[in-house]
Amino acid sequence: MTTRRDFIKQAAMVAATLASSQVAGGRPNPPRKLRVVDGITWDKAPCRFCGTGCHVQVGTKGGKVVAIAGDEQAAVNRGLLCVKGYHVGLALYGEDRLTKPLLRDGDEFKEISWERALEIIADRIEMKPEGFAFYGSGQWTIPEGYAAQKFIKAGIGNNQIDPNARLCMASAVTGFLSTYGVDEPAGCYDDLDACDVCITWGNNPAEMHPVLFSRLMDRRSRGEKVTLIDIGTRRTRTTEFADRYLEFVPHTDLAIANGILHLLVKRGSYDSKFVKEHCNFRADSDPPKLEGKPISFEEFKRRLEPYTPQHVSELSKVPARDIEYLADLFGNPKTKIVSLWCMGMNQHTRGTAINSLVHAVHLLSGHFGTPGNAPTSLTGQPSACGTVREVGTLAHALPGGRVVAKPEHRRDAEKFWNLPSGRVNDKPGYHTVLMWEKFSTPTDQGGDIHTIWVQVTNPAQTMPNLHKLVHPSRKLDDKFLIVSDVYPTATTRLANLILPSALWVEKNGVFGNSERRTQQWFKMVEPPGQARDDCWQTLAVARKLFDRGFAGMKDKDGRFLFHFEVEGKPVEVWNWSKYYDVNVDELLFEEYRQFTRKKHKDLAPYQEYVRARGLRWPVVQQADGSWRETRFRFAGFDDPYVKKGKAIDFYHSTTSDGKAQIWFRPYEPPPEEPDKAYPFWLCTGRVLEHWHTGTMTMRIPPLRNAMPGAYVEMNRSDAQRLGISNGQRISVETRRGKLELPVWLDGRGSPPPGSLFIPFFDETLLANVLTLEAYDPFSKQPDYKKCAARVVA
Amino acid sequence: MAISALVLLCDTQQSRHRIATRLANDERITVGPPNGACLPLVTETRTLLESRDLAKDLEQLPGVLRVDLVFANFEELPPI
Repeated sequence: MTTRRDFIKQAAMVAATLASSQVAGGRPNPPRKLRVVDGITWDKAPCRFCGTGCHVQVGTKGGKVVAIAGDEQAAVNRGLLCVKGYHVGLALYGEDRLTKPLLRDGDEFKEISWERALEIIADRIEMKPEGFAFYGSGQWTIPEGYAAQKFIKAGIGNNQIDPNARLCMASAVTGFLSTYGVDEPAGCYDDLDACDVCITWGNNPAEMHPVLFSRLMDRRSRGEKVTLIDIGTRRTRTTEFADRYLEFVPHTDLAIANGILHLLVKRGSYDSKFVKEHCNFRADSDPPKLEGKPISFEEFKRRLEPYTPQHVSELSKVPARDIEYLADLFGNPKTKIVSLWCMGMNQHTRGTAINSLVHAVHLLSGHFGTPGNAPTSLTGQPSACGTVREVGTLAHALPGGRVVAKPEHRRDAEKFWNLPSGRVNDKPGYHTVLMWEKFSTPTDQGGDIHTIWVQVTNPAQTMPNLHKLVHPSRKLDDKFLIVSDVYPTATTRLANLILPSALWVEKNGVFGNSERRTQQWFKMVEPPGQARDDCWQTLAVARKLFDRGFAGMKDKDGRFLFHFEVEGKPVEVWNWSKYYDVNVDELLFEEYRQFTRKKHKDLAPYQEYVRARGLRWPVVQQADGSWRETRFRFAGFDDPYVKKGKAIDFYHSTTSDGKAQIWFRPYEPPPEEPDKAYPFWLCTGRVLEHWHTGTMTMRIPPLRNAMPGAYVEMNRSDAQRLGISNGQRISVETRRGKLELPVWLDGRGSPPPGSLFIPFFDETLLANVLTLEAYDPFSKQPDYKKCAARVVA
Repeated sequence: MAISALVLLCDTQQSRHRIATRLANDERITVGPPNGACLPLVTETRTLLESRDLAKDLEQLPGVLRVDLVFANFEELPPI
């Protein structure tokens, strides 16, 4: 007799066999419904963790997630998952899930009703609407972010909304905007299947985007030649696979990029035809503006003159021959090159500059616009692109690439939201660092943010310089912190009001990944206790305000701001008992979709995403009624918005001539460097096993056991010099704080002499008491990758 | 019990053949039909931790380039 276990094993073997055929280079399998035994229901969802956007098959039974499999229909991951994705189902079942609204009472929390919680939030807003702020996330689903965006920009009217994605990819945004006039990568993951060379710029995809990295390494295992060049400040798992490793002094990546540009120009090995037809030249303006000022090619060439290989080598400590090697690669038009980057280039006080320089290297050399030739930023969160960059949940933005500062953009928003003219405020709110600084500043000293509502993120662990930006607020009686989350975190511990949230497949959702792919899933299991969707929480507070007569929550006809009708009947989106009678996500998504066409980020109807494993925008309807995604943006052979007959068309050019901008950006020293008192560089970051602050992954036993706590990586020569042994607890100190933690020599990563690395996932060892809050002038993104530190044994 | 499916990517088909023969004697492992240098496996262990350790051991086998995890069933495990 076949037992249930036999059935499961058979299903597991089917999954493994199918996946092995794809690893071995087989074609994707035709659609099929994965079915193990009666009683287990399988459905698709994007993984909850990083920005790669792998699809998983989720097996549910008896109201619980009981199995996870890689989704072999998914183009992103082709049935494979990393160690985090493999365990993602367990993220729902930590024993300390938050299940009831909790209100601080002295040093304790007491349970309150949802109704009372909604009243408290509405009171805080009504007290002084201009001082209320929403702090959100690149883990917000698109409908959640859209609801919060509308709540603030149309309802409260103060534009005080910003996301944690400000901390991870804002410099990528300003890099794309200043170069192409529109955000997000032109290429996609298909480039990884076609490139000859992959350059990782301060990036460690072997740990942070392991499935993408596997996709690249699979090609090698099939005998293809793929050269991997790792440009970094610390040896990582990615370095182990690299053909060449270029270790540079922190912050000097700008000098390296300029060194490549210098040689391309000097040797005449740049792509003069591509440049002439598709590019202009640009430099910083005075006063500084994102769009800068035009310069001639001759001026560009003159500004690059100092960046000889020898000078770049002196600054960066990268051998001159390696700078020449990079210039050789980019100077060869037959070599297809992909550049990948993530936090290393974005968490940088010159983040916009280094982003635009890497684009410049690709544009000047013509390594752009054909499969395998692309400068591509990766994101750390599952919907940093979909929710933050596209919905625009930023203090200065409106949905679909619009900004509050432009009258025509505000008019669009007022039209789509049925608002009276002039409702949308033209003054941007505070960016993240400023929002938290104002929250931590006494009201009578200009601290005009009195309440922050945090959803789906953990700022008391992730903000830089925590002692300055977060902790002081907790000593100010008139400051109120609301936190919606699924588990107790460093932030809920500081909160005044805690709201229990539904997680991942406990709710409907839509994410947008790093390659412009929009992905949908349905609720599969109930959230525990009284936990509820973040989106519902926002809509319920909006309704509470509407019922109290708050003018902002009415549209121009006096109806509720989130008024929806299905089959001619109004939908009570604020009523939890009826919330899933209709698909609120679909209602919000369809409203949002109207915003997406202006910048040619067209989304298909919601139901198209139900059928697909994601679609990459622009998604354009064809003559036969079908919807076609776009893999290669701005490329005439694939992008429907490129003018007919053109090979390349930058149709959102900042110079309105269809051309991209090649920037000159000088190297400038960082705001803090090692000195006698603080002789080490300190870098912070992530590890393979844990996703960001470990809120979910530290509750998954195999992941927690594999990486149970934070540590400081140090070079063995420094340890020997200071008499420090492996595992010894030492104090790492900066001008902002200190932290005691164990030393790991020759561990996961290996920093060079004079450098330290600390991961930030451990809530018991807060790396961000040490970090510097200095930020890029354009993106306002802080630099977590370099500051000066000392060690005390 | 924790039931998992894995794909071993071997450096050569010869390695794959040698590894498959070796693993066939491990009662925790069921070896599936090979595909090129890839070997699909199903593992059955008492706990997820044991499953992870087994995957790590497999990763260390001579000739194994990589181990991919493609399926996990934790239906029969006690609550965390």
